[in-house]
Amino acid sequence: MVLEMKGLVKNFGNHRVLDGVDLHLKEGEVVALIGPSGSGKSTMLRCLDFLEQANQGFLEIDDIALDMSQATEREALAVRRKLSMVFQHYGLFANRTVLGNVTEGLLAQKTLSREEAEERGRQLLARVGLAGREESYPNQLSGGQKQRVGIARALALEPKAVLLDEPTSALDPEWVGEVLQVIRSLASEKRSMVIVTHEIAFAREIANRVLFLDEGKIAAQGSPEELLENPKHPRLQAFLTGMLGGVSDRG
Amino acid sequence: MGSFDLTVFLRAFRTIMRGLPVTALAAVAAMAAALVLGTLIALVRRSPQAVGKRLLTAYVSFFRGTPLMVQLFLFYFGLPQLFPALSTIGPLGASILVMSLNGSAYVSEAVRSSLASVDPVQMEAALSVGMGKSQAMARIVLPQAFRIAVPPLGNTFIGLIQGTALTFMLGLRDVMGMAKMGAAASYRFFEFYLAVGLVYWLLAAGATWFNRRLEMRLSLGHGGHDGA
Repeated sequence: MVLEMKGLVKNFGNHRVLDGVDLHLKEGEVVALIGPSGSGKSTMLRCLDFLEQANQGFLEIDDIALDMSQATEREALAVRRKLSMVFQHYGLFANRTVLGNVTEGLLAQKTLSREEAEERGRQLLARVGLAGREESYPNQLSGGQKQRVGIARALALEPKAVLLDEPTSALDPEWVGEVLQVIRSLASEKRSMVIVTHEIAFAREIANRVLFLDEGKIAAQGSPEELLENPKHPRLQAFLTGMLGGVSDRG
Repeated sequence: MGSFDLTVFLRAFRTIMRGLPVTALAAVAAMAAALVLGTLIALVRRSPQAVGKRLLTAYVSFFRGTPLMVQLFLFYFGLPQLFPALSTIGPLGASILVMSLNGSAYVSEAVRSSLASVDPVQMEAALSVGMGKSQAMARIVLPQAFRIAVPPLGNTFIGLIQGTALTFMLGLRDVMGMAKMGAAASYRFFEFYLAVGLVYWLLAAGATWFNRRLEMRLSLGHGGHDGA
Protein backbone atom coordinates (compact mmCIF):
# COMPACT_ATOMS: atom_id res chain seq x y z
CA MET A 1 0.00 0.00 0.00
CA VAL A 2 1.42 3.40 -0.98
CA LEU A 3 -1.01 5.46 1.03
CA GLU A 4 -4.14 5.07 3.03
CA MET A 5 -6.39 7.90 4.12
CA LYS A 6 -9.43 7.52 6.31
CA GLY A 7 -12.33 9.75 7.26
CA LEU A 8 -11.17 12.97 5.63
CA VAL A 9 -13.39 15.90 6.61
CA LYS A 10 -12.84 19.43 5.36
CA ASN A 11 -14.98 22.48 6.05
CA PHE A 12 -14.77 25.87 4.45
CA GLY A 13 -16.52 28.01 7.03
CA ASN A 14 -19.88 26.39 7.64
CA HIS A 15 -19.78 24.48 4.41
CA ARG A 16 -18.66 20.86 4.66
CA VAL A 17 -16.76 20.20 1.43
CA LEU A 18 -15.55 16.71 2.30
CA ASP A 19 -17.56 14.53 4.61
CA GLY A 20 -15.62 11.44 5.59
CA VAL A 21 -13.70 10.37 2.51
CA ASP A 22 -11.49 7.28 2.42
CA LEU A 23 -8.78 6.67 -0.14
CA HIS A 24 -6.19 3.97 -0.54
CA LEU A 25 -3.64 3.58 -3.25
CA LYS A 26 -1.70 0.45 -4.01
CA GLU A 27 1.78 0.35 -5.51
CA GLY A 28 1.52 1.04 -9.24
CA GLU A 29 -2.16 1.80 -9.11
CA VAL A 30 -3.89 4.65 -10.92
CA VAL A 31 -6.97 6.03 -9.20
CA ALA A 32 -9.16 8.51 -11.05
CA LEU A 33 -11.37 10.90 -9.11
CA ILE A 34 -14.39 12.12 -11.00
CA GLY A 35 -17.43 14.09 -9.98
CA PRO A 36 -19.27 17.35 -10.50
CA SER A 37 -17.63 20.72 -9.89
CA GLY A 38 -17.64 21.60 -6.24
CA SER A 39 -17.82 17.97 -5.17
CA GLY A 40 -14.49 18.36 -3.39
CA LYS A 41 -12.14 16.48 -5.74
CA SER A 42 -9.42 19.09 -5.82
CA THR A 43 -9.82 19.84 -2.12
CA MET A 44 -9.21 16.19 -1.42
CA LEU A 45 -5.87 16.22 -3.26
CA ARG A 46 -4.92 19.50 -1.64
CA CYS A 47 -5.63 18.05 1.81
CA LEU A 48 -3.49 15.02 0.96
CA ASP A 49 -0.59 17.29 0.08
CA PHE A 50 -1.31 19.53 3.10
CA LEU A 51 -1.93 22.59 0.99
CA GLU A 52 -5.17 22.67 2.95
CA GLN A 53 -5.36 21.54 6.54
CA ALA A 54 -8.02 18.87 7.03
CA ASN A 55 -10.53 19.18 9.86
CA GLN A 56 -10.47 15.42 10.44
CA GLY A 57 -8.75 12.48 8.88
CA PHE A 58 -6.06 9.93 9.33
CA LEU A 59 -3.25 9.33 6.88
CA GLU A 60 -0.67 6.62 6.48
CA ILE A 61 1.99 7.02 3.87
CA ASP A 62 5.21 5.04 3.77
CA ASP A 63 6.60 5.20 7.31
CA ILE A 64 4.40 8.11 8.40
CA ALA A 65 1.09 7.79 10.18
CA LEU A 66 -0.66 10.89 11.43
CA ASP A 67 -3.85 12.65 12.36
CA MET A 68 -4.30 15.08 9.47
CA SER A 69 -6.05 17.72 11.55
CA GLN A 70 -3.20 17.84 14.09
CA ALA A 71 -0.24 17.74 11.71
CA THR A 72 2.56 20.14 12.50
CA GLU A 73 4.34 22.09 9.79
CA ARG A 74 7.21 19.61 10.04
CA GLU A 75 4.92 16.62 9.55
CA ALA A 76 3.18 18.31 6.64
CA LEU A 77 6.57 18.84 5.04
CA ALA A 78 7.50 15.19 5.54
CA VAL A 79 4.29 14.08 3.80
CA ARG A 80 4.77 16.54 0.94
CA ARG A 81 8.25 15.14 0.37
CA LYS A 82 6.71 11.75 -0.33
CA LEU A 83 4.18 13.11 -2.81
CA SER A 84 4.27 15.41 -5.82
CA MET A 85 1.56 17.57 -7.18
CA VAL A 86 0.72 18.57 -10.73
CA PHE A 87 -1.39 21.72 -10.63
CA GLN A 88 -4.29 22.66 -12.83
CA HIS A 89 -2.74 26.06 -13.50
CA TYR A 90 0.78 24.57 -13.73
CA GLY A 91 2.26 26.65 -10.92
CA LEU A 92 5.63 26.74 -12.66
CA PHE A 93 8.19 28.92 -10.88
CA ALA A 94 8.20 32.14 -12.91
CA ASN A 95 11.71 33.02 -11.74
CA ARG A 96 13.26 29.74 -12.87
CA THR A 97 14.05 28.31 -16.28
CA VAL A 98 12.37 25.14 -17.46
CA LEU A 99 15.35 23.11 -16.23
CA GLY A 100 15.41 25.15 -13.02
CA ASN A 101 11.77 24.29 -12.40
CA VAL A 102 12.52 20.59 -12.61
CA THR A 103 15.65 20.72 -10.44
CA GLU A 104 14.37 23.26 -7.90
CA GLY A 105 12.96 20.73 -5.43
CA LEU A 106 16.07 18.57 -5.61
CA LEU A 107 18.35 21.53 -5.02
CA ALA A 108 16.24 23.01 -2.24
CA GLN A 109 16.14 19.67 -0.45
CA LYS A 110 19.82 19.06 -1.29
CA THR A 111 18.88 15.59 -2.49
CA LEU A 112 21.42 15.74 -5.29
CA SER A 113 24.36 17.86 -6.36
CA ARG A 114 23.65 20.45 -9.03
CA GLU A 115 25.25 18.30 -11.74
CA GLU A 116 23.25 15.24 -10.78
CA ALA A 117 20.03 17.22 -10.47
CA GLU A 118 20.55 18.79 -13.89
CA GLU A 119 21.35 15.42 -15.39
CA ARG A 120 18.09 14.03 -14.03
CA GLY A 121 16.25 17.19 -15.09
CA ARG A 122 17.45 16.92 -18.68
CA GLN A 123 16.47 13.26 -18.86
CA LEU A 124 12.99 13.99 -17.58
CA LEU A 125 12.52 16.93 -19.93
CA ALA A 126 13.54 14.70 -22.81
CA ARG A 127 11.00 12.16 -21.62
CA VAL A 128 8.17 14.67 -21.76
CA GLY A 129 9.36 15.85 -25.19
CA LEU A 130 10.97 19.12 -24.12
CA ALA A 131 14.64 18.50 -24.86
CA GLY A 132 16.09 21.76 -26.12
CA ARG A 133 13.77 23.97 -24.07
CA GLU A 134 15.81 23.73 -20.84
CA GLU A 135 16.81 27.38 -20.82
CA SER A 136 13.39 28.80 -21.70
CA TYR A 137 11.27 30.51 -19.08
CA PRO A 138 7.73 29.34 -18.33
CA ASN A 139 6.08 32.36 -19.97
CA GLN A 140 7.72 31.40 -23.27
CA LEU A 141 5.91 28.05 -23.37
CA SER A 142 2.49 26.94 -24.58
CA GLY A 143 0.02 25.58 -22.05
CA GLY A 144 0.74 22.02 -23.06
CA GLN A 145 4.47 22.54 -22.71
CA LYS A 146 4.00 24.16 -19.31
CA GLN A 147 2.02 21.22 -18.04
CA ARG A 148 4.62 18.78 -19.34
CA VAL A 149 7.24 20.72 -17.37
CA GLY A 150 4.90 20.47 -14.39
CA ILE A 151 4.84 16.69 -14.78
CA ALA A 152 8.64 16.48 -15.18
CA ARG A 153 9.01 18.58 -12.03
CA ALA A 154 6.73 16.22 -10.13
CA LEU A 155 8.67 13.16 -11.32
CA ALA A 156 12.07 14.62 -10.45
CA LEU A 157 11.44 14.09 -6.77
CA GLU A 158 10.77 10.36 -7.26
CA PRO A 159 7.60 10.52 -5.19
CA LYS A 160 5.72 7.58 -3.74
CA ALA A 161 2.69 8.88 -5.61
CA VAL A 162 1.92 11.66 -8.07
CA LEU A 163 -1.20 13.73 -7.47
CA LEU A 164 -2.62 15.34 -10.60
CA ASP A 165 -5.22 18.05 -10.05
CA GLU A 166 -7.21 18.42 -13.29
CA PRO A 167 -4.01 18.54 -15.31
CA THR A 168 -5.73 19.32 -18.60
CA SER A 169 -8.62 21.53 -17.48
CA ALA A 170 -6.81 24.81 -18.05
CA LEU A 171 -5.49 23.81 -21.46
CA ASP A 172 -6.71 24.86 -24.85
CA PRO A 173 -8.13 21.77 -26.59
CA GLU A 174 -5.18 21.60 -28.99
CA TRP A 175 -2.75 20.90 -26.12
CA VAL A 176 -4.80 18.31 -24.22
CA GLY A 177 -3.64 15.35 -26.29
CA GLU A 178 0.09 15.80 -25.70
CA VAL A 179 -0.37 16.08 -21.94
CA LEU A 180 -2.63 13.04 -21.78
CA GLN A 181 -0.02 11.16 -23.80
CA VAL A 182 2.62 11.88 -21.14
CA ILE A 183 0.29 10.82 -18.32
CA ARG A 184 -0.57 7.66 -20.26
CA SER A 185 3.11 6.77 -20.44
CA LEU A 186 3.42 7.20 -16.68
CA ALA A 187 0.47 4.88 -16.14
CA SER A 188 1.99 2.29 -18.42
CA GLU A 189 5.16 2.19 -16.33
CA LYS A 190 3.09 1.58 -13.22
CA ARG A 191 3.52 4.82 -11.36
CA SER A 192 1.20 5.26 -8.43
CA MET A 193 -1.09 8.17 -9.25
CA VAL A 194 -4.25 9.88 -8.13
CA ILE A 195 -5.75 11.96 -10.90
CA VAL A 196 -8.66 14.36 -10.66
CA THR A 197 -10.09 14.67 -14.13
CA HIS A 198 -13.05 15.63 -16.26
CA GLU A 199 -11.75 13.51 -19.10
CA ILE A 200 -14.01 10.51 -18.55
CA ALA A 201 -12.78 8.59 -21.57
CA PHE A 202 -9.23 9.08 -20.40
CA ALA A 203 -10.07 7.96 -16.87
CA ARG A 204 -11.63 4.80 -18.29
CA GLU A 205 -8.51 4.15 -20.32
CA ILE A 206 -5.77 4.58 -17.71
CA ALA A 207 -7.37 4.12 -14.29
CA ASN A 208 -7.37 0.86 -12.35
CA ARG A 209 -10.06 2.24 -10.13
CA VAL A 210 -12.50 5.13 -10.42
CA LEU A 211 -13.96 7.05 -7.51
CA PHE A 212 -17.10 9.10 -8.01
CA LEU A 213 -17.18 11.95 -5.53
CA ASP A 214 -20.50 13.67 -4.98
CA GLU A 215 -21.39 16.25 -2.35
CA GLY A 216 -18.32 15.51 -0.29
CA LYS A 217 -18.72 11.74 -0.20
CA ILE A 218 -17.55 8.86 -2.33
CA ALA A 219 -20.86 7.91 -3.84
CA ALA A 220 -19.56 5.04 -5.97
CA GLN A 221 -16.29 3.34 -6.78
CA GLY A 222 -15.05 0.41 -8.78
CA SER A 223 -13.21 -0.61 -11.89
CA PRO A 224 -13.66 1.72 -14.85
CA GLU A 225 -15.70 -0.92 -16.65
CA GLU A 226 -18.26 -1.48 -13.93
CA LEU A 227 -18.47 2.14 -12.88
CA LEU A 228 -18.44 3.93 -16.21
CA GLU A 229 -19.99 1.49 -18.64
CA ASN A 230 -22.68 0.28 -16.34
CA PRO A 231 -23.38 3.02 -13.81
CA LYS A 232 -25.95 2.02 -11.19
CA HIS A 233 -25.81 5.10 -9.04
CA PRO A 234 -28.44 7.60 -10.29
CA ARG A 235 -26.27 10.67 -9.60
CA LEU A 236 -23.38 9.05 -11.45
CA GLN A 237 -25.68 8.25 -14.37
CA ALA A 238 -26.82 11.86 -14.48
CA PHE A 239 -23.22 13.07 -14.22
CA LEU A 240 -22.00 10.84 -17.02
CA THR A 241 -24.92 11.75 -19.26
CA GLY A 242 -24.17 15.40 -18.68
CA MET A 243 -20.50 14.90 -19.49
CA LEU A 244 -21.16 12.85 -22.59
CA GLY A 245 -23.76 15.36 -23.67
CA GLY A 246 -20.91 17.82 -23.78
CA VAL A 247 -21.88 19.83 -20.72
CA SER A 248 -18.32 19.66 -19.54
CA ASP A 249 -17.14 22.35 -17.23
CA ARG A 250 -13.62 23.39 -16.69
CA GLY A 251 -13.70 24.60 -13.12
CA MET B 1 19.60 93.53 -10.95
CA GLY B 2 22.48 91.35 -9.81
CA SER B 3 24.67 89.17 -11.96
CA PHE B 4 25.41 85.49 -12.42
CA ASP B 5 29.10 84.68 -11.97
CA LEU B 6 30.15 81.58 -13.89
CA THR B 7 33.49 81.18 -12.11
CA VAL B 8 31.75 81.31 -8.71
CA PHE B 9 29.25 78.77 -10.02
CA LEU B 10 32.03 76.38 -11.07
CA ARG B 11 33.88 76.93 -7.80
CA ALA B 12 30.65 76.21 -5.95
CA PHE B 13 30.60 72.74 -7.56
CA ARG B 14 34.07 72.00 -6.25
CA THR B 15 33.09 73.04 -2.73
CA ILE B 16 29.83 71.09 -2.85
CA MET B 17 31.44 67.93 -4.15
CA ARG B 18 33.42 67.69 -0.92
CA GLY B 19 30.12 66.88 0.74
CA LEU B 20 29.33 64.11 -1.73
CA PRO B 21 30.89 61.23 0.26
CA VAL B 22 28.70 62.04 3.26
CA THR B 23 25.56 62.33 1.14
CA ALA B 24 26.31 59.12 -0.74
CA LEU B 25 27.21 57.21 2.41
CA ALA B 26 24.05 58.35 4.22
CA ALA B 27 21.76 57.53 1.29
CA VAL B 28 23.28 54.15 0.42
CA ALA B 29 23.64 52.96 4.02
CA ALA B 30 20.09 54.05 4.85
CA MET B 31 18.72 52.33 1.74
CA ALA B 32 20.55 49.09 2.49
CA ALA B 33 19.30 49.02 6.07
CA ALA B 34 15.79 50.05 4.96
CA LEU B 35 15.69 47.16 2.47
CA VAL B 36 16.51 44.58 5.12
CA LEU B 37 14.31 46.09 7.81
CA GLY B 38 11.41 46.87 5.48
CA THR B 39 11.39 43.34 4.05
CA LEU B 40 11.32 41.88 7.55
CA ILE B 41 8.46 44.19 8.50
CA ALA B 42 6.50 43.17 5.40
CA LEU B 43 7.05 39.47 6.17
CA VAL B 44 6.03 39.80 9.81
CA ARG B 45 2.94 41.81 8.90
CA ARG B 46 1.92 39.04 6.50
CA SER B 47 2.33 36.12 8.85
CA PRO B 48 -0.89 35.12 10.57
CA GLN B 49 0.46 34.53 14.07
CA ALA B 50 2.45 37.73 14.41
CA VAL B 51 2.01 39.39 17.77
CA GLY B 52 3.68 42.69 16.93
CA LYS B 53 1.50 43.31 13.88
CA ARG B 54 -0.41 46.26 15.37
CA LEU B 55 2.79 47.81 16.60
CA LEU B 56 4.34 47.51 13.14
CA THR B 57 1.27 49.02 11.52
CA ALA B 58 1.62 52.00 13.86
CA TYR B 59 5.37 52.16 13.13
CA VAL B 60 4.84 52.27 9.37
CA SER B 61 2.03 54.79 9.73
CA PHE B 62 4.18 57.05 11.94
CA PHE B 63 7.23 57.08 9.67
CA ARG B 64 5.15 57.64 6.55
CA GLY B 65 2.88 60.14 8.21
CA THR B 66 5.39 62.57 9.72
CA PRO B 67 8.03 64.71 7.98
CA LEU B 68 11.55 63.31 7.90
CA MET B 69 12.73 66.60 9.42
CA VAL B 70 10.51 66.08 12.46
CA GLN B 71 11.82 62.54 12.83
CA LEU B 72 15.44 63.74 12.64
CA PHE B 73 14.87 66.48 15.21
CA LEU B 74 12.88 64.22 17.50
CA PHE B 75 15.58 61.59 17.49
CA TYR B 76 18.68 63.79 17.51
CA PHE B 77 17.57 66.67 19.74
CA GLY B 78 14.52 65.26 21.52
CA LEU B 79 15.23 61.73 22.63
CA PRO B 80 18.60 62.41 24.35
CA GLN B 81 16.61 64.54 26.79
CA LEU B 82 14.92 61.33 27.99
CA PHE B 83 17.79 58.95 27.35
CA PRO B 84 21.11 60.79 27.79
CA ALA B 85 23.00 57.77 26.45
CA LEU B 86 21.64 58.58 23.00
CA SER B 87 23.58 61.84 22.88
CA THR B 88 26.72 59.83 22.16
CA ILE B 89 25.41 59.08 18.66
CA GLY B 90 26.91 61.58 16.26
CA PRO B 91 24.99 63.45 13.56
CA LEU B 92 25.98 61.02 10.78
CA GLY B 93 24.96 57.96 12.79
CA ALA B 94 21.70 59.58 13.83
CA SER B 95 20.93 60.64 10.25
CA ILE B 96 21.56 57.17 8.87
CA LEU B 97 19.55 55.56 11.66
CA VAL B 98 16.52 57.82 11.26
CA MET B 99 16.59 57.60 7.46
CA SER B 100 16.85 53.81 7.71
CA LEU B 101 13.74 53.70 9.87
CA ASN B 102 11.94 56.15 7.60
CA GLY B 103 12.95 54.24 4.47
CA SER B 104 11.98 50.90 5.99
CA ALA B 105 8.38 52.08 6.33
CA TYR B 106 8.22 52.84 2.60
CA VAL B 107 10.11 49.67 1.65
CA SER B 108 7.76 47.55 3.75
CA GLU B 109 4.74 48.95 1.91
CA ALA B 110 6.33 48.34 -1.49
CA VAL B 111 7.33 44.79 -0.57
CA ARG B 112 3.97 44.09 1.02
CA SER B 113 1.98 45.02 -2.06
CA SER B 114 4.36 43.18 -4.38
CA LEU B 115 4.19 40.06 -2.20
CA ALA B 116 0.42 40.22 -2.46
CA SER B 117 0.66 40.33 -6.24
CA VAL B 118 2.68 37.11 -6.53
CA ASP B 119 0.31 34.31 -7.51
CA PRO B 120 -0.38 32.17 -4.38
CA VAL B 121 0.14 29.01 -6.45
CA GLN B 122 3.86 29.91 -6.52
CA MET B 123 4.03 29.32 -2.77
CA GLU B 124 1.95 26.14 -3.04
CA ALA B 125 4.12 24.75 -5.81
CA ALA B 126 7.24 25.48 -3.76
CA LEU B 127 5.77 23.68 -0.76
CA SER B 128 4.73 20.79 -2.96
CA VAL B 129 8.30 20.19 -4.14
CA GLY B 130 9.33 19.80 -0.53
CA MET B 131 10.42 23.24 0.58
CA GLY B 132 9.71 24.65 4.01
CA LYS B 133 7.76 27.89 4.19
CA SER B 134 10.73 30.17 4.73
CA GLN B 135 12.70 28.37 2.03
CA ALA B 136 9.80 28.81 -0.39
CA MET B 137 9.64 32.47 0.54
CA ALA B 138 13.37 32.99 0.04
CA ARG B 139 13.81 30.97 -3.17
CA ILE B 140 10.56 31.53 -5.03
CA VAL B 141 8.20 34.18 -3.68
CA LEU B 142 10.51 37.00 -2.53
CA PRO B 143 12.61 37.09 -5.73
CA GLN B 144 9.41 37.51 -7.74
CA ALA B 145 8.12 40.12 -5.32
CA PHE B 146 11.35 42.13 -5.55
CA ARG B 147 11.14 42.17 -9.32
CA ILE B 148 7.72 43.79 -9.01
CA ALA B 149 8.95 46.10 -6.24
CA VAL B 150 11.94 47.54 -8.12
CA PRO B 151 10.16 50.67 -9.44
CA PRO B 152 8.67 51.74 -6.08
CA LEU B 153 11.94 50.88 -4.31
CA GLY B 154 13.72 53.18 -6.76
CA ASN B 155 11.39 55.96 -5.69
CA THR B 156 12.19 55.26 -2.06
CA PHE B 157 15.91 55.50 -2.83
CA ILE B 158 15.49 58.83 -4.60
CA GLY B 159 13.42 60.02 -1.64
CA LEU B 160 16.25 59.07 0.72
CA ILE B 161 18.86 60.84 -1.43
CA GLN B 162 16.79 64.00 -1.23
CA GLY B 163 16.12 63.37 2.44
CA THR B 164 19.84 63.62 3.13
CA ALA B 165 19.54 67.33 2.33
CA LEU B 166 17.91 67.77 5.72
CA THR B 167 20.82 66.30 7.63
CA PHE B 168 22.85 69.50 7.39
CA MET B 169 20.49 70.74 10.08
CA LEU B 170 22.11 68.28 12.43
CA GLY B 171 25.43 69.83 11.46
CA LEU B 172 26.43 67.31 8.82
CA ARG B 173 28.78 68.39 6.02
CA ASP B 174 26.85 66.77 3.24
CA VAL B 175 26.41 68.46 -0.16
CA MET B 176 23.62 70.65 1.22
CA GLY B 177 25.73 71.55 4.23
CA MET B 178 28.65 72.54 1.99
CA ALA B 179 26.35 74.59 -0.25
CA LYS B 180 24.88 76.41 2.74
CA MET B 181 28.29 77.24 4.16
CA GLY B 182 29.69 78.26 0.79
CA ALA B 183 26.71 80.50 0.10
CA ALA B 184 26.84 82.13 3.51
CA ALA B 185 30.56 82.79 3.24
CA SER B 186 30.42 84.31 -0.27
CA TYR B 187 26.89 85.76 -0.36
CA ARG B 188 26.55 84.02 -3.75
CA PHE B 189 23.31 82.25 -2.90
CA PHE B 190 22.08 81.73 -6.45
CA GLU B 191 25.28 80.10 -7.73
CA PHE B 192 25.62 77.75 -4.75
CA TYR B 193 21.99 76.69 -4.56
CA LEU B 194 21.73 76.23 -8.31
CA ALA B 195 24.86 74.07 -8.20
CA VAL B 196 23.58 71.97 -5.32
CA GLY B 197 20.25 71.58 -7.10
CA LEU B 198 22.05 70.24 -10.15
CA VAL B 199 24.05 67.82 -7.99
CA TYR B 200 20.87 66.36 -6.50
CA TRP B 201 19.28 66.19 -9.92
CA LEU B 202 22.26 64.28 -11.29
CA LEU B 203 22.18 61.89 -8.34
CA ALA B 204 18.47 61.24 -8.90
CA ALA B 205 19.06 60.75 -12.64
CA GLY B 206 21.84 58.28 -11.85
CA ALA B 207 19.60 56.38 -9.44
CA THR B 208 16.82 56.29 -12.04
CA TRP B 209 19.19 54.96 -14.67
CA PHE B 210 20.45 52.26 -12.30
CA ASN B 211 16.87 51.37 -11.43
CA ARG B 212 15.87 51.00 -15.09
CA ARG B 213 18.87 48.77 -15.72
CA LEU B 214 17.93 46.60 -12.77
CA GLU B 215 14.33 46.41 -13.94
CA MET B 216 15.43 45.33 -17.41
CA ARG B 217 17.87 42.78 -16.10
CA LEU B 218 15.33 41.22 -13.79
CA SER B 219 12.61 41.00 -16.40
CA LEU B 220 14.86 39.27 -18.93
CA GLY B 221 13.35 35.97 -19.88
CA HIS B 222 10.38 36.07 -17.60
CA GLY B 223 8.07 38.97 -18.10
CA GLY B 224 4.94 38.61 -16.04
CA HIS B 225 3.00 35.90 -14.40
CA ASP B 226 2.86 32.24 -15.07
CA GLY B 227 -0.79 32.15 -15.92
CA ALA B 228 -3.09 29.99 -17.98
